[in-house]
Amino acid sequence: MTSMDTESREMTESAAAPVIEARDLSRHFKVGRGFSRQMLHAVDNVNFSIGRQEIVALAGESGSGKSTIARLLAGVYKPTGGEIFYQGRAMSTFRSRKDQLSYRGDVPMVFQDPFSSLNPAFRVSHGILRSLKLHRPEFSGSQREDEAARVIEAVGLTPAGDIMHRYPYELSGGQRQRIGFAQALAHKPKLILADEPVSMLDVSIRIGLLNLMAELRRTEGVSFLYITHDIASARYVADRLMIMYAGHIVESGPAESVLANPKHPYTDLLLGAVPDPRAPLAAGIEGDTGEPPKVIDPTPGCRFRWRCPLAVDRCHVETPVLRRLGEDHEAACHVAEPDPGFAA
Amino acid sequence: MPDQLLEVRDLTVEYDTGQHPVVAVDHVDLDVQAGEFVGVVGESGCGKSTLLFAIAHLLSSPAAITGGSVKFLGQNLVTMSEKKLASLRWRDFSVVMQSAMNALNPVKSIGAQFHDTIMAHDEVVDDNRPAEVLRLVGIDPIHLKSYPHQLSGGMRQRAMIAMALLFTPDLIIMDEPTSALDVVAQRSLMVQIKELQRKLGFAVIFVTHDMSLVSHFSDKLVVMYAGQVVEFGATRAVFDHPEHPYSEGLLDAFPSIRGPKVPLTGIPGSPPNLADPPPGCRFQPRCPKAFEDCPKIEPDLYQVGAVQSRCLLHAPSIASAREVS
Repeated sequence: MTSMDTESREMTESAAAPVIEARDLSRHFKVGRGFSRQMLHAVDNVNFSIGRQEIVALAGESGSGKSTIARLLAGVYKPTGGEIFYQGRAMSTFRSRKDQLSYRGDVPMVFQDPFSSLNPAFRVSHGILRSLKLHRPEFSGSQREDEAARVIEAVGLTPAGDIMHRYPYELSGGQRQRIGFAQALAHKPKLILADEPVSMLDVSIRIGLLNLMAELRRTEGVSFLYITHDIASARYVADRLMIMYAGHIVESGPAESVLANPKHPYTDLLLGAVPDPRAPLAAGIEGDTGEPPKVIDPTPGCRFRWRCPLAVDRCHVETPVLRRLGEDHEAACHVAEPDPGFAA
Repeated sequence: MPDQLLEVRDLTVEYDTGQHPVVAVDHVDLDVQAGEFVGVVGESGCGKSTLLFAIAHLLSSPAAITGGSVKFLGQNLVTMSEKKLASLRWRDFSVVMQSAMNALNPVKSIGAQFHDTIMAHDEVVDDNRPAEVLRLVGIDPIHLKSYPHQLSGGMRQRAMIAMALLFTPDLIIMDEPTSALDVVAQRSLMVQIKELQRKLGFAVIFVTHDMSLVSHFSDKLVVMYAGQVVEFGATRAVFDHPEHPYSEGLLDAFPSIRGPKVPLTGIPGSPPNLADPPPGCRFQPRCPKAFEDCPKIEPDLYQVGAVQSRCLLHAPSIASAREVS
């Protein structure tokens, strides 16, 4: 418990120099054709940064744009607008193959489904050795084997020599997902994009992987963007929490203060829906059927206003932007009040 | 109508794999009273879905019921002919499958699929019944004309539940109906199921791997591990005082969103291979409380206060358990 606290304090200190920063990041997709061509705004004007050795959780419903952000950061999609800065350099200037390769090595992704993200025809060491060959060409063949064994051990799979020669079908879901993390580690990454890494796993195994993330941050010095719809797990592992709704980040701040003192009504709704056997049943969201909107050719105004119990006239005409409402705590809501004693 | 709706005794299901039959459901007893909500929880591969399929008599080869009985309203489903079963299914008990979102036919409208169900069961029902059940689950009846792709995941899931309600059955068996949904949608569906149950009085057997999900909704809780029931009791009692180390471990695997933040460990290791279960207690290799007798003696379900627990620690005395084995 105490070690966790000191850790998070260290984190806030080192957060000063961000590993990655997104400014006004947007990504739109074309839908329909001919006369019914429309634009789906998957991510709209998003700003955030991730510091060194920081774990940032991005939470929200499916369709809120969480995975689009991960793919933008991974370079799978090009942004429609805005820019991503990696260690101070704009990503759009990474033109040479060398730059792109080193970026991909520094910012790998771990996927949601451990059952389909490993090639069933190859031993699990295959992907690790391949990426070592690509990203760390200075290694000889035997050094690659050694490094592969090291990362497999680093993710808690022992004996590494035995595990690395197995096929994916011989491993359980949790073990496969650990191989996913080992693959990412092989690149000596600065930031791992973990897109729902535990949602396909059994509840009893999830916690082991969350602990692994916290440990890798300490031992390997990596940062994480942890994408999840499970707020309780975000609280468990993350330093900072960003809540996403319909393409916007609606609230962001230290995980504890977002959960203890949610500013945005959507965060409230999300918190009320989490089943917690230790707490009595929270009431008040019975009327909400949980349908996030499709953001096609949006008009100005808050995107949560149709589900919001607090909506006022202003919410229908003006899109709220993130405002500082407390120490490091921001929310995009016209109605939310700042912390008492906090001057914005 | 007798209060005892479903009485499962010594139910055993084996998968015939050639050399060693895999016992996926091992002598399971389960009682469901009319109007009761029973949660069945456990890790994947613990046999919880197989148990449901066995109760509904939907198993297909290589799985087969090799022992025990399933008495539903006094009739044994295990020995019943397929024809007689067909008349019971959907009318008296219905099943909502896992990923019900994909269980709907994508090229037929919702209304047509409801109509098919009605035709298949030769039931005489009111023409308005499909609209009525859709309204019950909170969907506008104009969606009878909609195709599944026009509905969101949550609505498809609700439509499946509406279909299960067509003939107002006494028992609805649900296999992880909410696992594909977001927290908010999941929560609102659970609240709705509970409300419908209160209104219409059917019983529910609800299978899930997420113990916290049923914590506020089920009356009784069955915890399964490696094909066996390891703990059974009133839901609140199991949550407040879990008596089996496995249930304790499951409960400790959830980070809480309120209360103090404590480091959690989860349950080390992975579930056993059912083709070759460990000797003695099946949880013993992963159990933090295991002692020297655990690999030697197979525990029974012992009554501990208000719950039943399959753990040697609760054996009336280890010596008497040794005689039994």
